[in-house]
Amino acid sequence: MARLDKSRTSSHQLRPFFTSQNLLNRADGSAQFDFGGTSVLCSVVGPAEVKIRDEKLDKATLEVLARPLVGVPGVKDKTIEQNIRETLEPLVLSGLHPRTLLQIVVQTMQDDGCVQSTAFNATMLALIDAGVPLNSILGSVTCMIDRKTNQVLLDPTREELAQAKSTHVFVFDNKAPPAQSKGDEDDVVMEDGDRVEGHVLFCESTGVFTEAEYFECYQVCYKGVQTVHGFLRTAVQKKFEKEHQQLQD
Amino acid sequence: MTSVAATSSTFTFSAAAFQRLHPAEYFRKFVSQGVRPDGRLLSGFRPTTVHKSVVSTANGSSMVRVGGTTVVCGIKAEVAEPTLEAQDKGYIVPNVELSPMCSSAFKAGPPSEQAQVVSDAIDRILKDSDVVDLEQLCIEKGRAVWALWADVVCISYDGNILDAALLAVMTALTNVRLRKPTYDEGVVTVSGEALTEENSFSLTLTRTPLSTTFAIFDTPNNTLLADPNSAEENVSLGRITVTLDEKNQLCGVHKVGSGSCSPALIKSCIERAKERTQELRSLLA
Amino acid sequence: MKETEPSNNEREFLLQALKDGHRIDGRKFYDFRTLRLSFGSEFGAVEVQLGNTRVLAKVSCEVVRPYTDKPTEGFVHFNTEMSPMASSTFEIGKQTNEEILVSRLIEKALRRSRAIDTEGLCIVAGEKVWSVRVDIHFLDHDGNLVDAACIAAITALMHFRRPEIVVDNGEVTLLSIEEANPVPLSIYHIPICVSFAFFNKGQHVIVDPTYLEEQVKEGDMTMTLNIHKEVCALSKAGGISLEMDQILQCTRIAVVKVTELTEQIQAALDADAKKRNISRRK
Repeated sequence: MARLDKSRTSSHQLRPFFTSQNLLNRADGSAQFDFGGTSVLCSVVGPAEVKIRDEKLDKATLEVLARPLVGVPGVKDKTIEQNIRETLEPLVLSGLHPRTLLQIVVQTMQDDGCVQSTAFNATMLALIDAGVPLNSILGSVTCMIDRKTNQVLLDPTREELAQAKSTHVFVFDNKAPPAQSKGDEDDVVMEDGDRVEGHVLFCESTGVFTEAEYFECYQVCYKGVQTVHGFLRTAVQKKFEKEHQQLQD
Repeated sequence: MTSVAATSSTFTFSAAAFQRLHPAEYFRKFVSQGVRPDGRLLSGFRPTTVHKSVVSTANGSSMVRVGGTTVVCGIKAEVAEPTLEAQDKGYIVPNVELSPMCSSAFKAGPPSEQAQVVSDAIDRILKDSDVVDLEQLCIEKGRAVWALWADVVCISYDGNILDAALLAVMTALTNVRLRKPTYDEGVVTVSGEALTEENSFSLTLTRTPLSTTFAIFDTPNNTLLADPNSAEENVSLGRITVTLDEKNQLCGVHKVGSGSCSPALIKSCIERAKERTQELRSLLA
Repeated sequence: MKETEPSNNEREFLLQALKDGHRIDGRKFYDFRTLRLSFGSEFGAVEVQLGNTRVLAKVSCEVVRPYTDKPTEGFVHFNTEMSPMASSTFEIGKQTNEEILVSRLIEKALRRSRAIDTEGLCIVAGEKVWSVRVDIHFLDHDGNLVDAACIAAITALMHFRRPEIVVDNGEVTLLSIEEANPVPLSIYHIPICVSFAFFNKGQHVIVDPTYLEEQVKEGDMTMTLNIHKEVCALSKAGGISLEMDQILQCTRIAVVKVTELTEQIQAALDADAKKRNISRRK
């Protein structure tokens, strides 16, 4: 069944990626990440001076600011800030920079759905650009279930999201999940008998949905995130190759 | 030359001092035995009470106690202009207040991040899960609608504000009574007489989602603590919140913090949440 | 975060270079940095790059009730809140002096100069008017935020299209993009800000200062003019005192610069319109 977004044929197809790194001069690291028409710019400054009241004795303090494209920041932006900060806490090796501040600012440049996922990916590239030591890399995609067709659509546009019965944002890291013995009774098995793969870092699902639909979205997003991880790796690789080239010349 | 053998000096702490100095270790000692300092099992919930219509001046209200966390929700109706995009729909605006009154951890001033995030979570559940058909709040299309301000004030804070606040808002919505208004050339009139069945109406809820929160304590075991109190929240690294409606359909799954967790962990939360929300519904009825 | 002062070496080098007739980045005294304008896929979104300074402007609109004493006037609102993205010296919630000055200059240049026709934003007198909102986001601070912000704001307003609206017996209906082409705003004139910085006891005047030049300057002045040689605003707040003919000389420079910049803006808008027409016909 065709999606509302005519540029894509499959319901599990992601929009074209675009990324640009190191575009800001004042920040230590910066990156812009695009999922088709949605674009988010992220800047990272740190390790930097921290206010005494926010200082942590054994770790770096993470601060995330989410700025919307239109209007003054509201409660929705506070939710994005908290989600990004709490998801990054275990990933950043903050013990290496105690009593410092890691300030992340996330600015929405264009909104065509899935801003939260785009923000996660942009933040990851900006952290790599800033040289912040990380434990692993995260990748994020959003999917939704259509109200009329009950289809699972990956990386929906704003037009498609208006018809959503439920929306699901997932973030996975690139670490191999711990080895599990086959036939583990704790495994989650979907309706078609496949074991649900992947350990999730962050998930936010809203709307009305069944447990089976939730785990189906989990699987679809896990596969989608593998593509995102591949793209992030290629993007960083190309950046290093270009920098190496410039140094050689 | 004599060598002095190093004697391992042992410090003995009182339990309270140990909790202050090494909070995570303190909890680990309990959790390894399958209990928590307040005597609950890891999957146990605190005693919950629900009172309806506690604020007589509000259109709908409730008071909810979950262990040491007490919240009061009051819903006030006001006439407002609808937006151009939704000319026959009213609004429900939730707002959660965490002030120094409920805990010294909160400062006076603009709402903290926690209060804003909880308000936004309740707002998303109300909107995305179609809890109330907002056309019930229409007075005159394009001109006047009811705006319901759902204010949740925390009186005493001991963790898990989201579950308590959502339960309070749902309970208050079920006992909202709005006077039937008359619209005449830009003026909305409402009678001031005592509320009766004829001159007022209540809201019909499409569904009543209720949430259950679990704190994730200690990686990599990812031990779950159901309904965390304030001390447990402070030592935990993450949380999982599962929201279900009365048909056991999911209205929300939110997992944040504490590294990665397996799908089996989330499934166990969903199972436990089903049991818990069924218990809570008997309180709502 | 605290602002770090430039080192004595940097300061001396800059001032000496000016005495020798050079600017550190190789520009002539009255040259603007390269201006790059890029438009978003939606109407009213513009990113301006003035050298390394980057500013994004986004225009949006909604229908609101007008003030009772001005029943036929719409609203134009500018939001210039600065985030730490542009520079770590900016904090949310605490406005620095620079932020306040930039905000007031934009207000004076664009709102008080009546660049936008607010009467044209009326839908139903006394009931419904358009409220146009311009959000200016500062992405990278390398000096001269005011000029960049002003160019971004006015270009975004010229690029913006509001939805067509149908009034039928007091009933107002918004038409979607499929039903009717969106309508441009009515703009009377195009005010452009030109900022000057003064050094070496007022002897040297430069246009479009970089961040380092702003830190070392002794005084500054911003002139807002349009292509018709009308002065919309002039702001000289403190700093070193200037002679009258210095100010007149700056005015002459500003006239030339405003003409150049206005042509660049028009060219960029025309190129974008052509691209949209081509893609629409496809």
